[in-house]
Amino acid sequence: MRVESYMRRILAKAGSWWWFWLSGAAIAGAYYGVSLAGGGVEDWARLAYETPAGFALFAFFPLSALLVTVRIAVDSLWPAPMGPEDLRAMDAWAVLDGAVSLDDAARWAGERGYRGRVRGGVFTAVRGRWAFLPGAVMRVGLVVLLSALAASPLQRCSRSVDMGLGDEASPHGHAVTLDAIDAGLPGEFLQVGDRSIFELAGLSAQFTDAGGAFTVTAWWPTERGGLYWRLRHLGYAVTLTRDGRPVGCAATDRVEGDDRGEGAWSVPCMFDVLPPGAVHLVDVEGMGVAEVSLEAGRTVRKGLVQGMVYDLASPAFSLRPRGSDPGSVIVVAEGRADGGLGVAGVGLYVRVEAVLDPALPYIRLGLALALGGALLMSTRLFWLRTIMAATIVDGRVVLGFSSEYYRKWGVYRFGRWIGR
Amino acid sequence: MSPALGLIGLREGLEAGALLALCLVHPAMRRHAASLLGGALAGLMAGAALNLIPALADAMTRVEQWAMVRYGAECAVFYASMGLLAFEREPALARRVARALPVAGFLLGAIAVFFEARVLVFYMLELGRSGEAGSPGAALGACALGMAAGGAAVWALAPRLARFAPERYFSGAGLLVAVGTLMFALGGVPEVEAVSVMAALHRGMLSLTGAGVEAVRSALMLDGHAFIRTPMAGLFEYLGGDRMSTTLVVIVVTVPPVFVLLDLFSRPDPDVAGLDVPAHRRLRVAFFRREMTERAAPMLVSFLLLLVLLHAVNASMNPLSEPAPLPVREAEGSAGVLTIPMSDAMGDFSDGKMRKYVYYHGSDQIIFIAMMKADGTVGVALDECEICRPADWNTAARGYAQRADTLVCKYCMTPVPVAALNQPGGCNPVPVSFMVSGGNVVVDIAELVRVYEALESMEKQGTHY
Repeated sequence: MRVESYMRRILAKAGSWWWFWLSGAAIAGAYYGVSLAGGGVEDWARLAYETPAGFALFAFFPLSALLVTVRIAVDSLWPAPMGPEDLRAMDAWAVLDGAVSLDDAARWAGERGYRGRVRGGVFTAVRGRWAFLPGAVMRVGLVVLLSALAASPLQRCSRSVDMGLGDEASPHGHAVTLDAIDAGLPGEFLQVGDRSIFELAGLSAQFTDAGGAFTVTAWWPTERGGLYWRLRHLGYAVTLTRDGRPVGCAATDRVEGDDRGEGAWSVPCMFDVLPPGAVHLVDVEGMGVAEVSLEAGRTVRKGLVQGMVYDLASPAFSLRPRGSDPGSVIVVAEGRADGGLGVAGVGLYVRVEAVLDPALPYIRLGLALALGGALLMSTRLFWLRTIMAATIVDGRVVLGFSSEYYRKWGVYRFGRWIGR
Repeated sequence: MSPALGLIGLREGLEAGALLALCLVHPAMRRHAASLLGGALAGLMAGAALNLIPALADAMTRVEQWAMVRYGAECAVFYASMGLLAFEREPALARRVARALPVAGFLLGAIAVFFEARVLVFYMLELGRSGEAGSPGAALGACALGMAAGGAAVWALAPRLARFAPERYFSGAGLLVAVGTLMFALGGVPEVEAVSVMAALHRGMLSLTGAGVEAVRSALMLDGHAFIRTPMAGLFEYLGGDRMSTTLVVIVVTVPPVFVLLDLFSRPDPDVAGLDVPAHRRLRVAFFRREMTERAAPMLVSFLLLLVLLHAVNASMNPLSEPAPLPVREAEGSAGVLTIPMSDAMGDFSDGKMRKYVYYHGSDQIIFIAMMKADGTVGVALDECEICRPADWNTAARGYAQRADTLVCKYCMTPVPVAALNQPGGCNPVPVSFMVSGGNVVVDIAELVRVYEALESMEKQGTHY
């Protein structure tokens, strides 16, 4: 009994709401301090990840949330034995007229739906014993989420690679071949006004690895070989030719994780010209840096409104050497040559991201638990923990009643039962 | 001595006096009045010293830093109300709070005065040095006199107000909420500091939620894309956007008064089982309920005041701007056209601001808009909506104003993207043909009149009277 009491006292101290709110306030205070020094959210996050004191400060919050949850769960499932003083500290208490023993009190409480047991000279009955679950689920979710979010940047390793049909790549040593791209690009797209309204839904690509074929989309990441795969971009893979020979291109911008060397010529050329109207700077072999964009098939006018119609399934591209006159534009397409340049084939390329992150499942789990717990919390209005207890003081049965929330309602209800 | 500076001092004196008087309403604070007033005096001296002692003046030079410290202190006072409620529930902690009251009173007095004193002395010194107010000494003197007068006025008024027994209306937590609300509402010297705590909170919250949501989104590998549809893109944009941060600011600002109110109303009626006389029972319950109602009143007032402050900030952060129309007429030898320079002493079209011009055609005033769009092209349109036609008594609601990159119909408040200027239909301003020639926007007068008259003869659809 003494050990139990000792343990409960430790848990009451360690799992106090005060620590929880104090640690939350400390984190908010750290953000305030960082902001005061002219920093932003990134500096705040760096404080958490890169300094031991900052990490300890941030780790204290999930730890205290966990301890609070454990304390509440223990108190709910195994309520502490109560004495007369505890009983008087309850929301309401009264002497039960006509009762002479705790059995009378137990019977009286049982008639009102409170069934409990007598332990250490005190009758205790708890309703809503499991009411701690929504809060517990939410806090555990929060702990898992925060821990996983903290671990993810340390564990995560991401590789992105641009791949055309038939290309092979080995991000993180996992060899894959791109077999097909399903982009559903329309044969006729009308672009009206200055802002693009182009939106592509249902982009997917078929890959093959040692285990067979698998599909990667721009939607939820696909798990394969311990990696998470997702399509991050789409563009055209165009085989330019000059005098029947393929012409190489080099991108002037590099993608993070792209292993190809700077300035290396590649065939086909990767034209990042979507959405229609976008301009991509590409270094074209024998031409220099050119501004590449999609060429509209025709212009449609209706009153003052003007729109451009693009054939995105069989596109034409305009190339203008950088710094040249606006009029010196070369327009090429399949079957259409200009300025000595021709197109031998137009395909698509996708930028696929392969991520190695053991923390990702825990981020999802934490988020699901936290959101699920938060949703369940709304049911607490109908599901709260109430306690009825009784003991004998000076030969009279004293009853006590406490309610977790809505104290006023609980007290009034108890008053009605007692006959006040 | 400048009377204007005296008036500024008077206003600040009245504000500080009102805050301190409000603090002294509570009996516990009255017992520690010396601490509160000592804190105020110390705050006043520290605020002045920061300006007068060069070594201190260099300690923190950025206005934003000071604003953050001030807002932090005001929020601490505001949220201390909830802490106090929680402390009061635990007897051991309540005893500690009682012991800490002199220190708390001192801090409260210092916070109520320090920030205003620092800015006010800075402002007076600057005005004095610039020669606008004679000398720094004269400026400070005028302001000090005004402050003394303000403080004295509150002091003189206090005994009269005391007759209403204002202590009935404030619990400890309620007092802190009221003081915090007044600090939010009155804090700062408007001549120097224009930004309110609500605006600062909103900006901070936007930065925090935006970065937080992006971090979670990126961690979940669900980053958005310019043209590829991604899962829950709308939800993430909403959660990290302006509306969510506004919602969070509303929650942050309204939680203390709502919490105090809930605490008040969740208290059960007193136990009157021990009273034998029914009249005594009724009297006790009535007293209790009256006290509850009286203490709820200032919380409701605080709540409403906070809502007004929030609304004012929300409106000020998305202001509508509307320039006065500049008269234009046909220049000599310009063959029936209006020529509007895109860059002149009035500014440059590239600033993206809406410009309005008025052409007098007989007794008619034809007002039209010209502005540069984000893509660098120019748009010209009548300052009239094709749909809305306010009544004759409400002509001020005709046309458009600008809010960031949208035009807003002043009548129905419908936002129209600037990019839609020169496109007909819907809520867009009625387009007018024009040319850009030699750095000028050239509008054909006959065409302008034709479009205007066509619009006037039109029976507008959807017109509200």
